[in-house]
Amino acid sequence: MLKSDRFLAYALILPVVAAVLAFVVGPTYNVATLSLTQVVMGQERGFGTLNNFRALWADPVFGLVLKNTAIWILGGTLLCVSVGLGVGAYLAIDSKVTGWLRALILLPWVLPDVVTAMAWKWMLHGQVGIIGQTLESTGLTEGTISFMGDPKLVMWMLVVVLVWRKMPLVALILCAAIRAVPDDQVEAARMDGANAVERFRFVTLPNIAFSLTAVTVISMIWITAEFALPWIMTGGGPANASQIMATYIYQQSFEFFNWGVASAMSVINLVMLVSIVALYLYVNRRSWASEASK
Amino acid sequence: MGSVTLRNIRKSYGAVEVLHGIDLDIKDGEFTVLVGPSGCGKSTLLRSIAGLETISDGEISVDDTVINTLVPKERDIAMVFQNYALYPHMTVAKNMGFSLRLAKESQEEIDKKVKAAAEILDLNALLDRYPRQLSGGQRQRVAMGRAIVRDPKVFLFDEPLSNLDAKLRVQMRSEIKELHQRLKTTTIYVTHDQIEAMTMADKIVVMRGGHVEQIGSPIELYDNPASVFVAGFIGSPAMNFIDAVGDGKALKTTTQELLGTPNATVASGQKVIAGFRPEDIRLAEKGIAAKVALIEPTGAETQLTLRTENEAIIMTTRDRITHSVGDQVFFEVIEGKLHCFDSETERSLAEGGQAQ
Ligand SMILES: Nc1ncnc2c1ncn2[C@@H]1O[C@H](COP(=O)(O)OP(=O)(O)O)[C@@H](O)[C@H]1O
Ligand SMILES: [Mg+2]
Repeated sequence: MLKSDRFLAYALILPVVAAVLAFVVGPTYNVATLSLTQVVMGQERGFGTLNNFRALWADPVFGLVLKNTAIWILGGTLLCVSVGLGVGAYLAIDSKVTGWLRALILLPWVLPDVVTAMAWKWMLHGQVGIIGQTLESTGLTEGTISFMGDPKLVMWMLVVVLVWRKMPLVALILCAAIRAVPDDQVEAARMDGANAVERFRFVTLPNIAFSLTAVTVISMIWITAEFALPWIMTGGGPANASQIMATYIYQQSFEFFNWGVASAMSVINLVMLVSIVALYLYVNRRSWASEASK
Repeated sequence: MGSVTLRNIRKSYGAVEVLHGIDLDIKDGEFTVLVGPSGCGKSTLLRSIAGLETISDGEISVDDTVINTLVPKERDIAMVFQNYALYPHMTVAKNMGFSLRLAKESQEEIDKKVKAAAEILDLNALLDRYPRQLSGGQRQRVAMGRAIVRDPKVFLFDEPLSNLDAKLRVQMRSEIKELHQRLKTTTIYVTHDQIEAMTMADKIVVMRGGHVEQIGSPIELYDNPASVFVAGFIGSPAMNFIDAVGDGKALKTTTQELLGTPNATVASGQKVIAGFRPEDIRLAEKGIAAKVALIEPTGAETQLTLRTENEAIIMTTRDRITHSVGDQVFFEVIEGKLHCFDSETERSLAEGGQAQ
């Protein structure tokens, strides 16, 4: 009886295990081995070398890519979550306006990446972009700014568009979490003499800590995986000024056919991501036991 | 000091008025219980006093200071919530000291006050625990501790015992009462349970549909209910009501059986509602005829259901019952225990019963 139950249990989870092995572990293993293989012009030439990693290390562009990726992932996540938290807190207030906004705010989320990228590319265009022209005609700037052409600006412009696109869902998730905070706790805090800021800080935040961490990790993964937006808007340019991991991996593999180097970068990317997620899960586990304040 | 005065309190949610002009005077140190059926506006009234709801009209004063427009923290009132409302991420000590911390008191001062409150509530061993590690009764005590450390002018309780099991409820009831006798802080306590109201209150306020139905001490409400509603609500098992007619000084049932002399003057032929408590009737040689329909012994007392021609009458007695179900018996209402209400307004016809 017990034995056959066990057999049934294994039989039932088998399809999932097989799917995970085939579609997750398989390709990952493939990339990992590829990163240790010498590839010349798309042809494999010997396994068991760290040459791909050495080549990356020597590549002057790779340093820039790392810096840009840090801005992209860390800056993007931080802004997404903090702006999302602010917007979410506002949306959590009950009123007619917020009721409409809750629906409207999902618009950026449902637009396809390509449409978003093209629309923003034109709006931010140096000569004919509506944003630059508006700034000029209102006298805020002298002449138009080349948002996408300026190496110092371009990365941050990408982050702005990224936040515009990813923040709404973060805001909605946090809005839902904030609305799920028990009313009587907030009221008890009011009776205890907490003002709005203190109520948010000492009651709302600790209560949504779990959602907040989860949404941070998820945003980080989304942003790391986001490729179409930067590729269509800048293609990594000008002169690699907005080159990030995702675009550089694409360029290395599909334009230069450096499969080995691209795989090596993918592995670095993966290790980074896994360690970030692990760190966050660890921090999250700790934050349950102790008071968030102090 | 902490006397509370309510004058003509009205509260509307949109177009719906849920409090229709409440007047109430609470003396310093008094334990006042607001009691009434669910939905009658008890919580709304309590939350208005706390400052969690803004009232639509009227005036709330504490010690002759009008506090309507003050935010909760300026009112010097503490509240204990039905679901405890403890902060889950803070220890018991932090929960209790939170208000003091917000008030920027020194850590030493906070520790001292939290310790003192924990002493009173027997929470010393639990100060480092989190709310999820406590039982229902302990959580309730922490919630009270949070109120005590502030040393406010008024304590508010909103059905604080309704989440506890029956035995714990009785125990916490006496703990709250003892606490009040010790601290002598003015307390307003909301419940829908008339037993809680009777056992705890110095003064009971019976509410119904956003109005105050009657105010008085537990014994006053029990002896002289101002309306059928109060008479039926206070006391368990509930008072028996039957239709009756005035006949000289006495009351007769609609089937012309003599009930007795009521506590009010009634005109001959006047239709009234007669009321008498289950403990105020006894079996007799003659009187109103009835059949025993049900016998329910509870140990000390026995509850009988007597069926007359038209009604079922509940009677409780401490005597041993020798009758069995189906027996023909006679019962009479004990002298001076017959209440009498207007059949239209349902207000008491007794002296002073129309007041309020
Ligand atoms: N936020 C609200 N919006 C609309 N109606 C409410 C609200 N809160 C309470 N009410 C209504 O007010 C009445 C009194 O409610 P409440 O004070 O909670 O009753 P009680 O505590 O005596 O059970 C009820 O009819 C309830 O439906
Ligand atoms: Mg209530």
